[in-house]
Amino acid sequence: MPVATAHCVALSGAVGHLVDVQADVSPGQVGTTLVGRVDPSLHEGRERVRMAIENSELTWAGTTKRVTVLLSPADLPKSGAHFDLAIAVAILAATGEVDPRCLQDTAFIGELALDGGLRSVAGVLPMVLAASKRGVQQVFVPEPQAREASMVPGMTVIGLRSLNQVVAALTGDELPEAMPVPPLSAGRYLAWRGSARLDDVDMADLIGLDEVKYAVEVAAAGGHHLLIDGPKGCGKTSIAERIPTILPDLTGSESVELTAIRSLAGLLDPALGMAVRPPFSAPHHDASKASVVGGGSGRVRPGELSLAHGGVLFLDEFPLFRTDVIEALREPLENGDITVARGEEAVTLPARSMVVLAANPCACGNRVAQSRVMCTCTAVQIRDYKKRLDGPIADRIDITRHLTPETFTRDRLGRQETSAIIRARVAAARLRQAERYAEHDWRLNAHVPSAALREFWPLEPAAQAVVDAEIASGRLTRRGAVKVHRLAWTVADLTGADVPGTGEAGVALGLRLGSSLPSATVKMERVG
Amino acid sequence: MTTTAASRQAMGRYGEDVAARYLIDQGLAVLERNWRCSEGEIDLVLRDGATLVACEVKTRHDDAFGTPHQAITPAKLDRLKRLAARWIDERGIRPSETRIDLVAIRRPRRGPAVVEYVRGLS
Repeated sequence: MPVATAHCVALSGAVGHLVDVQADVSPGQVGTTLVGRVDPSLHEGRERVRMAIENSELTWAGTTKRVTVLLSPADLPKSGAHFDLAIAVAILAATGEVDPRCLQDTAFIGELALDGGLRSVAGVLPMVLAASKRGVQQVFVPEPQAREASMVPGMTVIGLRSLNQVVAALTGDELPEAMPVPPLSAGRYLAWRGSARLDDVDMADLIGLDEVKYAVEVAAAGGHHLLIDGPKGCGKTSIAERIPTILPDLTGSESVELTAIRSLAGLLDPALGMAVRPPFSAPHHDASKASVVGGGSGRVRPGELSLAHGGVLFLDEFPLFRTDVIEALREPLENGDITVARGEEAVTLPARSMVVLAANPCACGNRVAQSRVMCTCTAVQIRDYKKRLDGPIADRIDITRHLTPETFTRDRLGRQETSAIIRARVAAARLRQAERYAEHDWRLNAHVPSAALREFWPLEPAAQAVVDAEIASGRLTRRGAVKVHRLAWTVADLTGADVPGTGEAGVALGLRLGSSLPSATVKMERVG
Repeated sequence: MTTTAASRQAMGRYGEDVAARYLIDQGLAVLERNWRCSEGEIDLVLRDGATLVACEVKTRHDDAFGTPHQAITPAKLDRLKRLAARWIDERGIRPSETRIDLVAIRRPRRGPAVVEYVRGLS
């Protein structure tokens, strides 16, 4: 039989397509053709596969036969070097070196080097996930990525080092020796305050700041976005960095999603296994749009926004971010996913993180009433800065906190709550939400659609009246009112109230509008 | 071993003899051998039922300079097609189809020759 089919996976963002790699080896004018909308990196695979087969001392049929390789579905654009192994195996099966029946329900992922060695590729986990959904039961991957592929339940993973080993495994022969495969070399770029430092931080490090700590607790409990502004050095960054410490572990699906995103970005450390702790991502304000929301030439690389999925995306000095980056955050802030459209393909990636923005009150950072240092900004600078602060993003932020010098002059000595204690309360509040929304596909208050909120989970009438009065006075927009509604539920979930009443609504309004909170609320949690 | 023009010619001639015998065994009829015109040469012109076959014969000791199959470049294939058309013109025959075939003969310095027949190059 001169035709054989091997399987591989084409990724476009979070969507994986099972691709049939079909090879035909028949008499005719010699040559190798690769068809099925392949991009240049894949087209070069013809040469890699040919040399890999020849240098593996296997028979390369292309010297006397016509070799045609089709990657179907033929209209799906395909890119990446990870098809090499499937192409090589399909050709070898078509020439009879391997029994074509061995290739059923099996996927082959890996790039080939000229000596026949396998090379690691990015995105193995999402590929194997996609293959598993389409009934593939066995997958061949480069050796260092076997662990990553094994995270998919029910999949038989065979991690090997070379094409010769793959052929031996398929024919049942003893595996030949081969050089080890180097792991994928990729690193984070454009990141600061890396995650490594965060293992040692704790909320207890911060003295005072009760109001903002409470706001952070509410944000963590309900998944709300948060804006902290205040003069420089008052603790904005310190607070933000400690938010992941009060977040509970990722849920099962979040964990798979985040691990898949890391794999796509080539950042997965297989030794660490599945992602468990919520990520913290803090791109510098000079970061490009592609690095924050995802994109890039060739394959779409997940941005910091997606790498923070299930955790915290912290934008320090957010008015200094480039306008296109800020504008691009609008939709993901509301929807929890990001669609990067380029040319003919649109790639959607999950991006459901808590966004935390920090800003100075002005460009020089001293423009606070009580500050002893004079603000040196010009009127124009102040106006421009204010415009950025109050832009479309600010309206999509649920909670606003202004840190003032007073907040930290009120510091008292004494034992501060540790992150573990706060995390327990956040977990309890999240559990209440999970039970309430058990039949729906959202889990946190921040993600409940407004229509469902009004219909099934209204505020107490008196509380609604308080919110309505704020709308009437013009202090609150309609979108703001929905956010207050969600916040009121989170406040209620933290206190254990069944329905948010006027008290919860008042706290929610304070959080939304950035006014000071009743100190009883802020202290309440700490009594017990 | 050195090769001379004479030894190359002898090698080609030997290959064509082997190819002709092989094709006759396959049921084809040889119409003409080494037909030449200003554009080049057809090694074997044959009839396969109603199809006219222009056959190129490639004889090699080994694959040091590529396989016989690789010697048929797209340009060479085009030329063979043009030659076949000219042959038809000249002989006034009207075959229902025309085909270009290749007989690749590998004749190692020791051991038997191996004949490979590629029916229809395209």
